[in-house]
Amino acid sequence: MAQRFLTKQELLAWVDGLARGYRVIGPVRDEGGRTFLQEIAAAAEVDLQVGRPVNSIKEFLFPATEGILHVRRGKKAVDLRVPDAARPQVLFAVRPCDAAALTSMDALFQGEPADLYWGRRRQDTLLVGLACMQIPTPECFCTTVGGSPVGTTNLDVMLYADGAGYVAAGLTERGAALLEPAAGRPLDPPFVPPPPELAPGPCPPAEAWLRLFADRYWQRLGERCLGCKICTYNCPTCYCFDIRDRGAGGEVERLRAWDACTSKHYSVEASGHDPRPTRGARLRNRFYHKYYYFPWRYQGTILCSGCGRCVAQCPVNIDLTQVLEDVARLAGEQP
Amino acid sequence: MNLTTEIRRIAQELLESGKVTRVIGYEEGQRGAVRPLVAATPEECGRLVLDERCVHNLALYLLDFKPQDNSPPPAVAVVLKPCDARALNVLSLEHQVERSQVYVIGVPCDGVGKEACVACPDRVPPTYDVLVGEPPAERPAPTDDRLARLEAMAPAERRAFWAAQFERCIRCYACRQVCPMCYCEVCIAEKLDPSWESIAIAPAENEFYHVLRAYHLIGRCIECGECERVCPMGIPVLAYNRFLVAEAARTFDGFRAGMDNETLAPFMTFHKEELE
Repeated sequence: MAQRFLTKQELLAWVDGLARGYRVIGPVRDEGGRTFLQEIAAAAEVDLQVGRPVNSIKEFLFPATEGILHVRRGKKAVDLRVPDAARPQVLFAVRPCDAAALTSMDALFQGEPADLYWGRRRQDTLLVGLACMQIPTPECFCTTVGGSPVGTTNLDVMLYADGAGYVAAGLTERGAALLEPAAGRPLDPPFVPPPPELAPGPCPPAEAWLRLFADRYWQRLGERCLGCKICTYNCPTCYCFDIRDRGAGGEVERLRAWDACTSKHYSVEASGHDPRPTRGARLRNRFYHKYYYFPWRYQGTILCSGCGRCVAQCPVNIDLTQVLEDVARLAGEQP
Repeated sequence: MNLTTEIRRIAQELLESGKVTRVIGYEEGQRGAVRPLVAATPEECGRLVLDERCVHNLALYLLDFKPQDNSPPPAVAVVLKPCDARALNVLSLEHQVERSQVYVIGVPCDGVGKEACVACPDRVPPTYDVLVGEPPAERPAPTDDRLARLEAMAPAERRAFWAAQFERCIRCYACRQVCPMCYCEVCIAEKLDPSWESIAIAPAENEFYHVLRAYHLIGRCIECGECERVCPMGIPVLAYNRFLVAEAARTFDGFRAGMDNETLAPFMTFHKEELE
């Protein structure tokens, strides 16, 4: 499809134009030097240098908290209302790993039964990617899980930083239309970006995970785990949630909010029994879900896009890439 | 003297002699970081390290060795900096940890680069069984400029500052999980019956959680600042705790939590005269 070369000014002018018709989400650096994906009012706010924002794009498709049903009791009838869909949105400067993460999330939420809330937001969202022309952070491991630093999966437009400007490539019909108002000059022949080198690490096969389920390794790893939810909440593919009602009397809102298998009460059953009673068992579940259960259920799709957030943000240095190496090694050592 | 060598020697001896069943210390991690290690064998003690990267408050892990069913917990050794040792004192006073079952390898500290270290006056742990390394020179307590800035704000300005901070919170509970003082079996923020706050990850709920946690820490916070270090969203969690630490000191004759193994927090004591 069509490609165009845009100077930085032309790129920002294009994004400002988009903000008139869409809610635009982009990476913004705060006073403390951290970059977060958030709604922007003007393109000038965007931090295009960031390797990986603290948060992932997940919250813009699957909000941390969402009202899914509004219940109001009237005199004669009960009124049930599903909240209206949000404004159409453009996710701008999305890294390829975050976009690739949508493949597994779609498999889950768009499968049977399809999730209304994910589905309509996904439909109303366009993704403008920002290719990684250099490997942005030391924790990146997208190639280990089959991704690429310049991968275009799930993107509508891809931007490649090139010298003084950006090559913008429309990848879908919607993306090409989105790009239509942009200034700049057409690129002919099209620009083929040289992908940076990122050697993939080991990604153990199902048999390895099966062998290691009862290994002491997980208890030992759990000894230092805090049992917080950083690794799951900022993960682009962790999707667990809780549903509860807020309000009382005549008006109640049914909420869906993120929850996490790494936290203590997540797996407690109604009887009081907890099938995952230790931090090690809970941590094991997170890794198995991503690399064993989910691929088993969804035709080999790994529930991880190698963004490296959990690696970079864990306060006690629990490192998924190290876990993958350990699983591969330990499974090989077992008889 | 090399501190790492010394720590390894002490830890190995403790495990070999059977004096303790575990040594909680630091090991070299991935990507230039150190991380907590619960060493179970003399061989594993060979992985222990000690340097200025050792930010974690290991007193937290003593909560994994609580007394069970009236039988004493297994003896463990733990490496503690001054603020970490204050945590042990508070946990011992609150009957969460049996002090006689803990062998403290105390380490003097000149700061490990955390926000908490900026205004920390302490150089030597207030409790230890063996001290490793030379205490650095005493220095006068530096001022907490950030706290002073916050206290100088007009109420409306301060309100706006904190509202913006809490709006970012994702209720990952890392600040609570890393806090040695937050040991409740079920946190009030997550109680279901009765439910004190909804599951919403939203400004009002976030603020409720943080304010509640701050109040539960009055006279108990030992200012290790782990809460702030672990926050992925960059919320200055320690700042509100420091405010209440200062408030407790102002109200109760310079009281600081965990400086000894005898003085209960002001809110845990009651004197008849207070009825006046």
